[in-house]
Formats: sequence, C-alpha cells, structure tokens
Amino acid sequence: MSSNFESFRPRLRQGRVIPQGSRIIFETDNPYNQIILPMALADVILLCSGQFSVREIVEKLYKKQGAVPFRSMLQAMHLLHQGGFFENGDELILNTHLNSWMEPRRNAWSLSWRFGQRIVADRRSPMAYYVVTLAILIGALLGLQSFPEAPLKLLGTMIKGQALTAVLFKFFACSSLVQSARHIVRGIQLLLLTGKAYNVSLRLTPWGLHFHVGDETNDLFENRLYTAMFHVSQILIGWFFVFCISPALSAPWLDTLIAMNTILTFWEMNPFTNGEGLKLLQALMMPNDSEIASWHFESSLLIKSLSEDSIQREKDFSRICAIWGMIWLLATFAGLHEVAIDFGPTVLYRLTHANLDSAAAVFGLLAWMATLFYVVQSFVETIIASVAKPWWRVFFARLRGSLVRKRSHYTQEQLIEKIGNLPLFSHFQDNYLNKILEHSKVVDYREKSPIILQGDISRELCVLLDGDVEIMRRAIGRSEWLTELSAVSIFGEASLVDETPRAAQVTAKTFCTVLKVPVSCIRQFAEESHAVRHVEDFRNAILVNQFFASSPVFRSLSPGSVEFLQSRGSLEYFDSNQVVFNQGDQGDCVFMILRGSVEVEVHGTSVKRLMQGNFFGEIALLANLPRTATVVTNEPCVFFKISTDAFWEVLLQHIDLGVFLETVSENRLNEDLKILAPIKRTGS
Amino acid sequence: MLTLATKLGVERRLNVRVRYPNNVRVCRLPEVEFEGHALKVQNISIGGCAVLDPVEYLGPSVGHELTLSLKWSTVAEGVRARVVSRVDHRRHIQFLNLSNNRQTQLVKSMAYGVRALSMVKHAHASERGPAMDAVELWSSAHHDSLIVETDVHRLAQLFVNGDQYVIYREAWPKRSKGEKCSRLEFEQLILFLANIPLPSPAVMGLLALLEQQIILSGGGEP
Repeated sequence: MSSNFESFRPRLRQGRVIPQGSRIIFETDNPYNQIILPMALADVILLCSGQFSVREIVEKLYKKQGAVPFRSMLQAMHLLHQGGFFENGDELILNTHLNSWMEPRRNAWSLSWRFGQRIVADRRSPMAYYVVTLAILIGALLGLQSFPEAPLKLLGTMIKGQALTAVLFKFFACSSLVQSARHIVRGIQLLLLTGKAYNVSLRLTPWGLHFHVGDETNDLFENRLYTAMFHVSQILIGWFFVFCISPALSAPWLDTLIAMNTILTFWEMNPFTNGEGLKLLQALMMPNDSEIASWHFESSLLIKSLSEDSIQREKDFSRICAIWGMIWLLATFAGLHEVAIDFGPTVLYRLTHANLDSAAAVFGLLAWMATLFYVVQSFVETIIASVAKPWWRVFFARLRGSLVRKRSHYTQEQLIEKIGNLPLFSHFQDNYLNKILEHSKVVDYREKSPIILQGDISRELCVLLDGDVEIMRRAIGRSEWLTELSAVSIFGEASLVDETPRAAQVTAKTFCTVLKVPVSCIRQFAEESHAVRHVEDFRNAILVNQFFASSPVFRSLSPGSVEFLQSRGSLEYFDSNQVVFNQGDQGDCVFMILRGSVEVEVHGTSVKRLMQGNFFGEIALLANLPRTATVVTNEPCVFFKISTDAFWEVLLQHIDLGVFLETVSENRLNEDLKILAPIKRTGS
Repeated sequence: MLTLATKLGVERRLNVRVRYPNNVRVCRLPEVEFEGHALKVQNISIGGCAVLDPVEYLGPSVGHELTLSLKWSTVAEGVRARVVSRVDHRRHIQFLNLSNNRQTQLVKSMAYGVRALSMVKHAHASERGPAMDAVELWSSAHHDSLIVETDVHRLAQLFVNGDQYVIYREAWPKRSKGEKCSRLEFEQLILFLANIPLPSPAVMGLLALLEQQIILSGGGEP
C-alpha cells in the first residue's frame, strides 16, 4: 500500500486556535477534542483547511521560515490524526515507514466512557492551587506515618486471614476510591492553575472503576514549582486519604487501603513507564518554564539542538533515570524475594488444594508476580539485546551463509531486465545488450570472498546482481572501510576510462551474484551503436547512480526523484587538503561524497571523518543556518553537489526523507557540540 | 540568539544589525556623534552602523576615515571609522577599532533586538480552516512569541526570553502576575518590536503606542 501522506489534504474539523503563552490550544466544537502544540506549529494548524496538501504546507513553511521542523510537524499530524481532528482522516493512507513515525499508542487495558464536558473555569487562581496542593502534601506526609514496615507481609496476613474473594473486592473498591479521588483532585488542581480540565471520563480497568481526568493541560503550567508540586501530590495523594478517612475505617479496610496505596505509590515511582515519578523528574530538570510544551515534542526544532544546556540536561536526565531505575529494580527484586519466601509454599499448597477462594488468591498472587517478572524481564532483555545483539547477528549471518549453497543463474531476459535501468546500459538497445551479455559471465561469490583485489589491473566492469559487497582500501598497516553496495549497482567503473590498477578491494558481504562485463566489449558496442559518445560521462553517471543506489538514506527514493536530483546536480572535483567550505559560510548546497573522504572541523578541531557514500552540508539545508563546520578533503575527492532548492523539491515529495535528514543533522550538531564543550572549558 | 549563534562560531551572526526605534533611545544603545553633531542612527552592529546625515557633517565622499564618538549613558569612546557607502542621506559606517569591552556592551544592549530577528508571522485564519482567537500570531525558534489580541484594551501579549508581558492601551506594560514591568524591560520590549522583520501594520501600531507611552512617562520608572 503506497502512502498518500504528501498529497493528503488535511482538513481540520470546525474549531478555533487559542494562543496561550508560547503554545496554542486547538479546540473543536466537540468538547472532547483539544490539543496543545508549540506556537511554532500554528501554521500547520491554520493551513489545514483542506485547501493545501501536506507537501504544499511544508513548502509554505519552508518559504516562510527557511526551515521546517519535520519531526514536530509529523508528530503534530499524528496527534491530530489519532485524535480524530481531521474531517477527512479516513483518506490518509500511510506506509509502514511513516506508520513507524506515527505509530499510535493505545491503552488496551481500559474501557472508558467519556461523559464529562470540557471544564473551563472563569478564572485561574494559582494561590488557591498552592494552598490546596500544600494541604494535600502535608496530609499525605501525615498519612505516610501509617506506612507498613513490611507491606507484602501485611498483604499476606490479609490474604491468609480472610476470604480471598472478599480481599479482592476490597482491593478493587479501595483502588476505585483512591483513583477516583486522585483524578477529581487532579481536575480541581488543573482548573485552579490553568482554568481548563480536559477529557473527563469513567474508566473500567482490571484495577478499578474510576473517574479519569486527562493531564494534557498540565502542559500549560508556567511555573516549575507548581509542576513539581502537582506530580508529587499525584504520587502521594492516596496517603492523604489514608490520613483523612482512617478514623472512620475498620481495620481490614484500612489495611487494604494502606496495602493498595503502597502498591500504587511504588508503581507511580516506576521509571520504566511514563508515570508521575518520571514526569516529576522532567519537571525538575526542565530548563525554563517556556519550554514545557516543547519537552513533549522532543525534536521540536533543529535549532534547539544548538543549545549546549539541553544536551547536558538530557545526559543528566539519562544518568539519573539509570540510577533511579537500578534502585527501583533492587526494590522490585526485594519484593520478589519476599513474595517467594513468604507466599511460595502457600501458593503451591493452594494450587494442590484448590477451591474457589484459594484459586482466586493464587491468581491474584500470580498476577502480581507476573507484573514484577515483566518489568524485570524487560530490563534484562534490554541489557542483553544491547550487549549480545551484534554476536547474534554474526551467528545468524554465518548460519545463513552455510545454508545457502548455490543460487539459480539468471536467464538472458532476467539479466536484461536487471541491468536495463542502470545508467550505462540504459543507452543500449536490446540487441546490443544481448551481444554484451554473450561476452559476459555471471559469477557467484560466497560470503567474505574477494571479488576484486586491490592492485589488480582492471579489465572488467562488475554489476552486482544480488547480495551486498563492501569496499575496503588497504593502506600501510591498516584497512580502511570505504562503502557498502547493494544490488543492483555497478562497481569497477574506473576500468571504463583506463586500465589502471584497482584502487580498492571489493569483498562479498553476503552471498553475491556478479555479472562481469569485459570493458573492451562495452567500448566496441558503444562505438557500433553510437549510443555512447563520451565514456567519461558514463563513468560519472555510474558514480552518481552508484551513490544513490547504495546509500541507505537515498535508496528509498523513487527513480524519478533520483533522476531529478541527477539532472539538477553537478560533479565537483577537489584535490587533497582543499577546503570545500568554511565554518560560518552561507550554505546553499548539499554535497554527496562519490569518491574520497573529508575531514569535518569545528573551530579547527577535527570532529569526524566522512567517507565515500556519505553526505554533508545538510544542516544548512534544513535549518537555514550558516555552515556549522569547516570541511577539508583528505585526498582527491569527487562530490555530487545539489542546490538546496533542487533538494527541497525532492524533500517535498518524500517527507520521511526530510525527517531522517533532520535526525542526522541533529545528531551531527550534538556531536560537534560535545567536542566543542571541553575546548571552551579549557579556553583553547 | 547571539549565544546560540556564537556557540558554533557563526561569526556572521555577530554582525547582525539591530534597528533603533524611531523616536526613543532604548536599552542603553549608544548615541553616535561626529565633531559634536549628533547623528540619527538607523541600525548598528559590532562591525558598524548606518546613520542619517542630511546636513553632510560626514562630508560627501565615501571611503575616508574619521573618528566618531559613541556615547553610552556612562561612558563615551572615540572610534576610528570609515564611511563605506552612501545612499541619499544614509551613510554606512564601518568601525575600525571598537574595543572589546564596548563590543561586549553593545552585544548585551542589542540582545533583545537580535532575538526579534527570527520572529515569523503565522498564517491568517482562513474561512475554511480553524478560527483564531487573535489578530496575529508571531513566534520564533527560541520560544519567543507575540500575540496581537482582538481585545480593545488588552492589545497584545509578549513572551520574550521566558517572561510574559501584557500590553494594555495607554498603560505601562505589565508582567503576567499583574505588576508593572521595569523601565529596562519596557525598553527591551520596544527594541524587540522594532526589530521584528517585515512588521505588519498591527505590530507597527503597537510599537508606536509603546514609544508614545514611554515618552509620556518621562525618564523614570513606572
């Protein structure tokens, strides 16, 4: 199914855009539909009238701002689409690639009935919010004095001492009460502070039937203290109720409430889900109040990544999350241990002497243990995957290589079909192609086999029909990886010009099938057919085509787009140690490295080396910034230079390519800044 | 903006020019004098400035060097300069030896003007699209924004550098919590508005009102 995203004409439902601070709220006539976005995306909303396609909207944004925040825009489109804000949302078809960017998140564990209206208060009252929240926090601290010394033992005592259906009912009732009260208080807090509370509903979940108030409007908080107080109060609010109603409760109900609160508090502190604990940490580490909305749009704008503070903040955030996660995990292990010691025999005993009550108890305990197991297993799996994945890949690659014995050879028609679209062969008629193929041979190569050896005299042009190859160059004492090619592409094209020694070694990365065409044969038929006038031009065309065919970034482009770029670009030749552009220059083009390698320098410090098959200059293209680094050639290089205007015409057809390039740009900027930071500190 | 730009050594950004408001002197930006004659400054950067010289104090020719006096509120400094071009009464002047201290001082004074240079006006609400509860929306990549309101008395809201200001008709601008902003903040708002690129009539009207307000208030705090 092909995506129609670029040509989709989004038409928003009737509604209005309400600016508030550095954000906008879009509200439709349906009271359930509201969305808060950074103001930078106001144009996206205002242009969604059904008059313009996504492509035209991007074009308008680019013409106005000189840059487009692709990912933010895509996320906004996703939110609008998923929230049912588009009247014509059914017309939107997304391919798997775009779907992965716009993947919907559904909560499969709840049924909800939206019955409430959007609640809007006449006026905000931060002082009342402050007083209410402070009262809750003080009450919660007093309630925490009844925190049990051994919560799970308390749980065990309750289960052992009572009919288990009654225990489960009490848990369900207490959970419903605490959750409902928590969300009602949340609604009051939001109304007091922001004047708005959205998405009031009744929810049925396995752990309770409760009111629910969405926390979308806490994006409108304009004070870090208020935000932090909000999340802390949401974590501890159960203990406030313990404090308030404990005198009125009988002992079994109180024990249940305390056990319930312990579990809820523990769960909210879980850093592996987007709970209140994690939101609290985000609130505390937020740089300034105006970026609250942008925090949710992680990639709001490319220029944001220029901020050294935000990079450092993200690092600190990751470190704190890792430490917090370990502590939480240890607590989970301790809980598991306690469950195993205290309840293990009971569980086994009850399984063997089953009746209705004991079965319910067993299921309850197993559910608790399964939850803990799930969390631990996810954590361990993540670690194992990150450490062991490369080894698994090697193992499976070897296994696949050993299983593949031989592949069937191609027929003449299949070969013509394969090579007919390549730049060199597309100029020959079928009869000449047949003649060329008669003089050529198809060779299979097992994985790791050398196809071309560096230093050999080149008399053959190779067409990779199947598989992947990697190109390496041997220097003194080391091997240098140059690039990787995938089928169908041409290599060894230097032989077209002269019979020079091969400059690099080509090795089969997987099982490969290669068509070897004698260069003399191509020359002979080129002259006969009058199709080829300048062999040098074809070599260049092959170079460019090879780049687009092998680059993981550009491989997904349609042939039409590649042809367009090829027609708009030009080849540039640079000698060794030549400056391509300087840091601070105005950038108006992107460079693809067809041959050679370059050094990227920021403030005179080399930050990275880019090899053949890579590209540079894309930051100026996407962010309308001057060049952020100086690029110097390491060796004689051939670049394919494309103007930003031509590139933008292609980006408008491939929004996903824009998103990808934006990600690459941000990563590169971050890398540059990481290197720049220590230089600045040392004052050099 | 300057901080962001200089992080990557984008020197071109350092020479960004900041426009002076038409009728008031704000943010301690320097006055420019030549041989005791005050020149009306149109814009300034650390590399030079553009002045109006209808009387031709600077002479008719282009390319010659001269000494200008840059007068801040507390200090004046003689700067070697060169007239690099002239268009009608306007002279483009390049500073040849502006000291590092004065450059730093100038950059600080220009900060709010530079921030405004990246402001972009958002699209108007169309008949077929969503309605907008504002006359105009402006924002920048640095989370600054300007909301020109539909209200008769509350003219606009400005969010600059993380602070919120509300602008009322014929009144001193207020911060979000209701208290009046300081004079320096007021001047910063004027400089910000004066440097919004391609300002709409609504923005220019707002700027004129604020200039008038600060002139009426004299030189003091609110």
